[in-house]
Amino acid sequence: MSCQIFCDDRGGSAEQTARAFKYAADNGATIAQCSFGYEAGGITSDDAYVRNASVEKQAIDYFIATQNCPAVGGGVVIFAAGNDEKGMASYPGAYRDYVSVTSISCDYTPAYYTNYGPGCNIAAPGGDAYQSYPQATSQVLSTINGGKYGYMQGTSMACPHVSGVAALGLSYALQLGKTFTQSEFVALLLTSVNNINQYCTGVDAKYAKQMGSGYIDAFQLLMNVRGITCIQVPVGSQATVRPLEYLGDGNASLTIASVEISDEDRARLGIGAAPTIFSNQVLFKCTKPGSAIIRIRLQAGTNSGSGMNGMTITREFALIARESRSANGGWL
Amino acid sequence: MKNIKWLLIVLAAACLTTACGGSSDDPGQPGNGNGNVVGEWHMVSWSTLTAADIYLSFDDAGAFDLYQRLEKPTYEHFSGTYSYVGGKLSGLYSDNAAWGNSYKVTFNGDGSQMTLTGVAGTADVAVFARAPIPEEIRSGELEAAALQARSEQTLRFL
Repeated sequence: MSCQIFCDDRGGSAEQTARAFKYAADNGATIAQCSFGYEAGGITSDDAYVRNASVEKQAIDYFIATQNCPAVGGGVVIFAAGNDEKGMASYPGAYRDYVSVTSISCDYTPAYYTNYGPGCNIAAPGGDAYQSYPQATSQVLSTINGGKYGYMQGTSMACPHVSGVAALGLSYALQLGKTFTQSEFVALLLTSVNNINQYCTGVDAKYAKQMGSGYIDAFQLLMNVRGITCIQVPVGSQATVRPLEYLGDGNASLTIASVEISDEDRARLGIGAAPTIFSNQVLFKCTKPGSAIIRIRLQAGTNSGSGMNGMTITREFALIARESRSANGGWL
Repeated sequence: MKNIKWLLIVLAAACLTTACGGSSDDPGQPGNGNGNVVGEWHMVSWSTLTAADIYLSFDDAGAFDLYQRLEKPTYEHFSGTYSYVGGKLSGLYSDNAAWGNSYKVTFNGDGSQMTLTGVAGTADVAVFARAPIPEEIRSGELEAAALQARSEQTLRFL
């Protein structure tokens, strides 16, 4: 469904936006694709956003709390990060619970207009006119007014790529009979990415680790929807697990905040001392064979240090402690 | 915070033939039902593990195929040769790596499930049920290697 909150250059108030989110939640929407926001820099902290747009935030949170699809426990809200060329995302997308999408060009470099930095969570193709100027073909071929197609650029072009991939993932989850909590699905989305920091060099160095976790990869999301990844660990000697190697293409911009193995699972694998984190590695020792679940809390995106935050997500892995395994990693 | 703005910028628009190759019709251990390892299997349990997705295929010429979704979100394909003698299953991968274990094989009553118990380490117990390997897995469509090859041929944008 399309919920209009603008009329030409008018509209877009917090109240109008709130009514649109309420309508969408009450009428079956699961993914909110939002190509709008306040100018970056006007609001510079989550607290300020909550104070200034409380009715809007309440409506967005209502959307997130409303389940309309059996495959996911709530709504997924995805915003454009903004085209202000500023080192912070625009609100509402910058808020810590909402996904904010930055834009990359067709050569994977950050688009010249994209916002970046605190509040940004993930990147997607949004076009960059300078890549093919005066031709328009380096932008994104999009629907435009009048029932036509035209080339456009912007984080508004990047954002629907992420929304579309999210919808594809939910469709696949329905096909497989899989169900996720809202936060589990968002975590899968933000970790189904490829590294773009390798392209943030020279004049683009300022964007390194500021564009979110990486650029969205539809195939990765579909594979992650199939099930969690397993990590084989030894029995009787220290395990050194590097969770980030199992996420995205192994080079996503993520930071481990904490790790958890339940008491029951620790007892099952004979893990005495609690796991410790050292340099994005998790260290522990299994003394019994078996399997268990390890939960890794990660930060996707950067913090401003003054009230703008990356999104905190949790990914689960299955630990497999076997007494014997083949040298080539095969199960048998 | 009265106004909000659009964020659009609109511009004009082998067989090493291990010494083992070959299967037998050994029905398994006495009292463990009748069955044969030949066929396609899907792992239904190992310890409390529900995350791993592992398919096995054994043919009657002594070759096996293993498709596993384990340490990667994508599937990996291994193949090689196996031996099934005296109710014990053992084998060798095509890269000459030995299986990590040999397995005692038992079947349920109608042979629709088989249990592989590691000879070294009796806690290594996996239950497999007869199930066809999905075509999208067998074809390699869901393998990382195939994906990589395709992405090198055509720049993968999403």
